[in-house]
Amino acid sequence: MQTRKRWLPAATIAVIAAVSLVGCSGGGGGGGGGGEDDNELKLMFWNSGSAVEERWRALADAFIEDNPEVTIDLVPVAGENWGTYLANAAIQIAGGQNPDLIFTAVEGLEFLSSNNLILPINDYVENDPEGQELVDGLLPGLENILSTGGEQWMMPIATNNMVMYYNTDRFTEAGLEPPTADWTWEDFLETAEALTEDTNGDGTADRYGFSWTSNEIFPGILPWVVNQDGNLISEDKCSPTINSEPVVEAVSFLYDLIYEHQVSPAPAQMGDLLSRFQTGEIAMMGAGGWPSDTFFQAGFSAFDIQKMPTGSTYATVHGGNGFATMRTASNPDLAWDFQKFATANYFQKSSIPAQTAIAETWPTEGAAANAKLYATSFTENPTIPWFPNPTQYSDYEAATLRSLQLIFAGETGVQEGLDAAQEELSTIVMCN
Amino acid sequence: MTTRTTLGGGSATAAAPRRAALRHPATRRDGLAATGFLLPSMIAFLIFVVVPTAGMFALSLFRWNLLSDGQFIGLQNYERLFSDERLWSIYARTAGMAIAILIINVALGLLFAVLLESRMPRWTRTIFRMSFLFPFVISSVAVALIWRFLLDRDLGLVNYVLGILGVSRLDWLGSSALAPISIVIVASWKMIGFSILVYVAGLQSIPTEYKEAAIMDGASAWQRFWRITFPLLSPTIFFLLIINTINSLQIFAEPVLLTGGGPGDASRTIVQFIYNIAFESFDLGYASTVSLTLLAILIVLTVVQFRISRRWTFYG
Repeated sequence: MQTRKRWLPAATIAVIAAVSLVGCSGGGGGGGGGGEDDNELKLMFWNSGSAVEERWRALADAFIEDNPEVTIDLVPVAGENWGTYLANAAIQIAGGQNPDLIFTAVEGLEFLSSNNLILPINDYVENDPEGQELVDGLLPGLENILSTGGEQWMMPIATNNMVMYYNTDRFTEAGLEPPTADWTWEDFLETAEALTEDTNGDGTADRYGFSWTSNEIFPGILPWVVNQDGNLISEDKCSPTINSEPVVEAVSFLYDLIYEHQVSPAPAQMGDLLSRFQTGEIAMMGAGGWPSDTFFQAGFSAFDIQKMPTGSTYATVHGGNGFATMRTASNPDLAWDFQKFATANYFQKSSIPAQTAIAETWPTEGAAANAKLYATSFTENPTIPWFPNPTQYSDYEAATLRSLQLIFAGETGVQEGLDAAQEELSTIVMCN
Repeated sequence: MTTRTTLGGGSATAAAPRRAALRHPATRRDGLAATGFLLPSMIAFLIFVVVPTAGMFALSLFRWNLLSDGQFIGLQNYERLFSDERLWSIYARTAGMAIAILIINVALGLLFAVLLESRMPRWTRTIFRMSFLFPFVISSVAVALIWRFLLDRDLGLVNYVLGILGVSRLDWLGSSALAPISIVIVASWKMIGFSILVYVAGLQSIPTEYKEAAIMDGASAWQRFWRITFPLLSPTIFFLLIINTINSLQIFAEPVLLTGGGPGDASRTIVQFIYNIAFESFDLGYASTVSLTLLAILIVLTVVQFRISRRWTFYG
């Protein structure tokens, strides 16, 4: 009897905790939120660099100048990549932080929409000629990639397409001509070999022809997979295809760059890669528009860009980002006005503007000689047919990168590693 | 029967004065004062330990992804524990790293502390003490970031020095064999200062008369350490064993920042895995279940250590 009495408080606490915790979860669409009044906007964004908040503040101030009755709060969220940013944003939202608009890219769209967190903009676009005009002015491929199941989820502000950055000083030192737009994987390999050097004569290369990032799928292996006519998940985004033939071929090509041809070190994090590129340790790397701004800020100008080399095919691999309106937004109309303003008035600097007219002259500071490629790679080439952004993006990205890490560290063979990845991803990438 | 009556009567007579004493106003006041002093920490313990633990248990019975309503699934998360091969392989790796860190901190820490307390100029001792303690007082994030540069395969200082000695570059952070070793090195480097600090305090509390008497009796340095220092230091060693066991099983910042747990899961620790389940897979229920397994393991290890310690600790 006494024992039972002793257990009673613990059981009560457990029940209270259970009820309160489960109650706290709320519904995706439930709970009031957003700014406290109709003229307040709360913007949640990925604080991915030192100047990011400053630029969103400039955009917000410009919007306020046109709409003096509006106030805008910025909510920065940290993250190493899109997966971790989305995870951290979800934690903040679950904790009661209800923004009106959330910054996302194509990576987060399925996650946000399937959890019923964001509003589609189809009705706004159909009924707002200004909105329709902005959609018509988008770079080709952007509208398609930011839509799922017939719903368009946001008006993109900017995009990033994968291009090859090359260090012009290293090309000059090696006596190489700049790569041309029609270069192939074979041409690329020859170039990388010519750029790889053992400067101290210890028998190991210390200046490499090429490297890629280990902490993101998009600038990492995706362009190589797509240019081998493959993708990492099925078109309906319900099953992984990471051990399909094109993926095996693309990953094998990258693997051989490290172990057979020895023109690449093990892939590194994007930050490390950018540093090594500037010091000349890495002569070529794949990335979107963001290095251009980083290099400008660092005063580094010895670089140019070219299309990614063609494999069995070529398609421009790109994403798209912008602010999506949350279902909890207190004034969705005002949020739509902000979306339009943000796409028409470019402030982001670190990515390629989504509007073709603005993209054609981007960047305005520290532009590479071939900077027009940022826009023409969209307008003159086919674009990626669908983006591998399943609902469980954070989990999917982490599992994919973990598997690739084992392969590129030489811990497992390409086919064996990708088969294991396929098995694990089959439990993550699925549709109900 | 007589004996039983006597014993029973004896305990009844012993209990009577105790009850009388408890009824005494002065004793009651003392009891109330003691409760008053304990109350703040009891409330804090209840709010920050008992309730969250109960909440974690409750959550382990649900499937909940943070953003939608939770679904009660009974003991399914517990069943999943037994079929989750990845979990147990991560537990095995965590245990391996934890044992290595524990040995380094407790054994090497003792060695360094004894050396620090041996004859050396005062200024040298101060420099050594500060340099051992410095990593402990700076943040784990800063420590991990510094070591990430030091251990970098291509640009790191460690490989540069090894290169001068004719050793080819080692992939400290990128190979399955070396990544856990790197975590052990960095975590030990960070935590050993605390062990040394506690050991030094323990060594200084040993009366010098004992050692002086032993010297007079002709005891060697090893005999003095083994017969006097070690027994008197055993409560300190026991304390450090407990603390280091708990800390080394809960390493998080070092693997996250140095290797990301990779390659694959080679250097992933159990706490990092719990974080991954909760905030990458958004499976709060299963993350809570795994957390409870860690809690259970830590409790069992601590109880076992307490039991065994009775045989070798000496509270002089």
